[in-house]
Amino acid sequence: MKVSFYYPFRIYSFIPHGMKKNLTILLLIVISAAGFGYAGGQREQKPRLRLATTTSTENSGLLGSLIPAFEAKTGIKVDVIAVGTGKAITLGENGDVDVIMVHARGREDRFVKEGYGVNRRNLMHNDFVILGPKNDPAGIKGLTSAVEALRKISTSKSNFISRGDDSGTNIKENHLWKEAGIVPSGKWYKEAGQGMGAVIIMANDLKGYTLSDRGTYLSMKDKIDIGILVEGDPELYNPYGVIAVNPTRHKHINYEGAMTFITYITSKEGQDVIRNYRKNGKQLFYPDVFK
Amino acid sequence: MKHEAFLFLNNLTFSYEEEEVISLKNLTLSDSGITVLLGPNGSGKTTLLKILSGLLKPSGGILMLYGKPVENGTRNILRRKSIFVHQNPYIFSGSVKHNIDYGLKLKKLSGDNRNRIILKVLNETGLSGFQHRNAVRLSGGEKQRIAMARALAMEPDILMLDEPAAHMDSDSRKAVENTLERLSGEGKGLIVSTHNLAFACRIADRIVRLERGRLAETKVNLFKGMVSERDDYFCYFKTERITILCPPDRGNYISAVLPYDDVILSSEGINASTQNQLRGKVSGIRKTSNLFLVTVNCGIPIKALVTEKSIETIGIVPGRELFVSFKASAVKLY
Amino acid sequence: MNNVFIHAAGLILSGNREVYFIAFTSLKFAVSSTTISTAFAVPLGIVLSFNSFTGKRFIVIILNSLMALPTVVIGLLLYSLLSRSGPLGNFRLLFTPMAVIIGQSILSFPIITSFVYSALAKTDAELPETLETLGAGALEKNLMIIRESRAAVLSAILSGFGRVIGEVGVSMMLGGNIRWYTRTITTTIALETSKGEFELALALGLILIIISFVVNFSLHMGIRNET
Repeated sequence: MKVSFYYPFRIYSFIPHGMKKNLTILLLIVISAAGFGYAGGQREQKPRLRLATTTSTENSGLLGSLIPAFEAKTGIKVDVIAVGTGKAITLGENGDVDVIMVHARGREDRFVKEGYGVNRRNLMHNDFVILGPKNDPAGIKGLTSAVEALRKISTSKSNFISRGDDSGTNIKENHLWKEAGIVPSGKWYKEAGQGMGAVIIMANDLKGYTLSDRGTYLSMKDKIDIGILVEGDPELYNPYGVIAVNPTRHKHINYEGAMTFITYITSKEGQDVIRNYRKNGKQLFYPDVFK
Repeated sequence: MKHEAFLFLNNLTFSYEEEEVISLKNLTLSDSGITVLLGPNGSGKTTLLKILSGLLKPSGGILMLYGKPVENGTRNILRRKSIFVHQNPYIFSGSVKHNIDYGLKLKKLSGDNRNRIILKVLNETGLSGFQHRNAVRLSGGEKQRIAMARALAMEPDILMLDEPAAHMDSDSRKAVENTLERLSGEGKGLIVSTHNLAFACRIADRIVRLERGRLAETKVNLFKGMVSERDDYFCYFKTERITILCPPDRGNYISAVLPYDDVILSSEGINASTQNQLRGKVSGIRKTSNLFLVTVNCGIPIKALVTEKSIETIGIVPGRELFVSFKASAVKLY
Repeated sequence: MNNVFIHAAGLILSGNREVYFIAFTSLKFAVSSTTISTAFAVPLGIVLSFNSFTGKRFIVIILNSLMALPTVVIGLLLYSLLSRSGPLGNFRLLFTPMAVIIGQSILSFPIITSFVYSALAKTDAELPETLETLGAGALEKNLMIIRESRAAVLSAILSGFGRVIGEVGVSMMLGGNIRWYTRTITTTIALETSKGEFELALALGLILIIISFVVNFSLHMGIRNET
């Protein structure tokens, strides 16, 4: 019969000596000491700066050159949160990051117009390309119009892998379908909901087409059979912008850090880092401030 | 210092899930000798023992310890004075010594003191030399005695043992009986619950009957003693003051039980097959539901159940001298 | 694929600094969060095991349901609480190690509580009463109950540990997968897989298996040697 009630949190002044031998308890104490010691040990002088950016800049490895150079110069530690452009903008709207670096011009302008962001700067650009299998069932190789290429893919019902994740690339792709007057649907159109790298691998495996930024494609070129079929259309221009989150909306924002960052990457020095970044010997991004 | 009224309870009730499982009008328990709570399974023995050792809080009524009421603030005092031992005791993993040491450490006794007490209680429970044995691997009877030793080490005034001999073979039961006798002989008070009448009669100095959580009449006289001699016709069971003739038998008995119903009261001596005839004075008359319970002091008190008619015809009043007769075959030895 | 395995083994054996940092971060998060949730879950498990009270069954049902909750759902709920525009935004916890530790603590809490509860519910009801009658106070009693059921309590804690060291939803959503800060084994695996880089992902997967094995093995051996 379980009727008595007792309280586990009542503190008694002594612990039985029998516990001294108890390995389990001892282990727990050691483990917790380690855990809390660690949690208390994370302190820095300057506030950390939070940058939400797109997976393409992170995956391309550009940030691996840009961030250490910035940190070395200013002493500000940067936390990079790499997500899709849509999510990065949402993080900015919620005040969860201090600065965003994205590629979807229309959304960026709305972000600023609605008062979430301030001091937008053009940063750099590269371009999108349409990738596809060598046998090219839709027959798009060499076309100069991306919209025309998508129309052909759609009519031939060839596999097309979409990011489907509200990333900058996905936003661009949706824009192109809209231009073509097509609402893509059917078995041939596959929304992956994954990052650029994973989508390129899917397209490669399914011998399908996809829209990719040139940087990610170049970084994966050696591992895949699909290649560039359409490029150079002005529609495929892919500009990146950098925007500080509005400090009047969120008082915790590290606005000073954000502006230091924006100033740095739009300076001659920062732009040179972008220009000089190479992956497999190829330039991936083209600075827009100091051309 | 021994108290007859170690525990006194009045209108004590205990309810579990809205059902009153214990309801006791009036009971006084001594902290000397062995008191047996006798009753079938489910009669509330275990619950009562847990209340009496401060593990359960009664739902209503009065519980007094040495004349002082036991309340929330003083239940700890009761716990220290009265230690409960389960029917199937929980044995801590580790050595026998570790089991006994646990409570002593809680008392913050010094190492020397603890060792002295451990040796003492192991000796008292017949477990000398067991201290470094792995307690969990011992037999059921040995575990029972470890639990007793563990409880004894707390030096309580009284030990509450719940069915200590249940599910035991006769050898283990004998060992438990011997342990209880020894403890009682050394002046430790014991309250023992059991459903086994023979076991109860062998060990009890007093029997309290419990049925469905209520006190029930015992309806038997219980005499403690031993068989002093035997002949072809009888066993002679010798108690402190009197000798009772019983049917011939070879066993080694320590208790004689005589039902109230089998006792005949008369104003003159009678010459019949009633081999036991004693004289004594009426020391008490109490009305039960439809009969009268008469106590006659013949050196030791003997109780008999009689009708109202008999009270009138024989003229039973307190102080009256009477003959008390019963057949040898009415006496059962345990 | 053979090359990938060789490359992965190379990353581990060559002592790649980032690989070990990531593994250490995972371990720190999992150990801290398991410790925190254990501190609450074990006492609650004990209370549930040895008491009956109204609402107990309800609590047990809730705990069991929470055990099955996807980690991303907990991540999402906590994100909306910890976001700067959420109710707890002022604590500035989002995308910090502390946020991950809190999320993982919440994740492992129902598992540890339920497992401790079901393990202790099987232990003898005599145990708490025996301790009480021998004069143990509440704390002493709980410590002894834990000691007596240490194998079961330990495996409950290890189940909680296993859930958090292998989860990706909370670490990703609350930690943000920030390099040299909140990047863990699982978030790295998710990131590297999405990039199509399998070597690092595989190396970390191997480390994850090794960690789980070593932790389980050593704690179980510890228990065995003691009795």
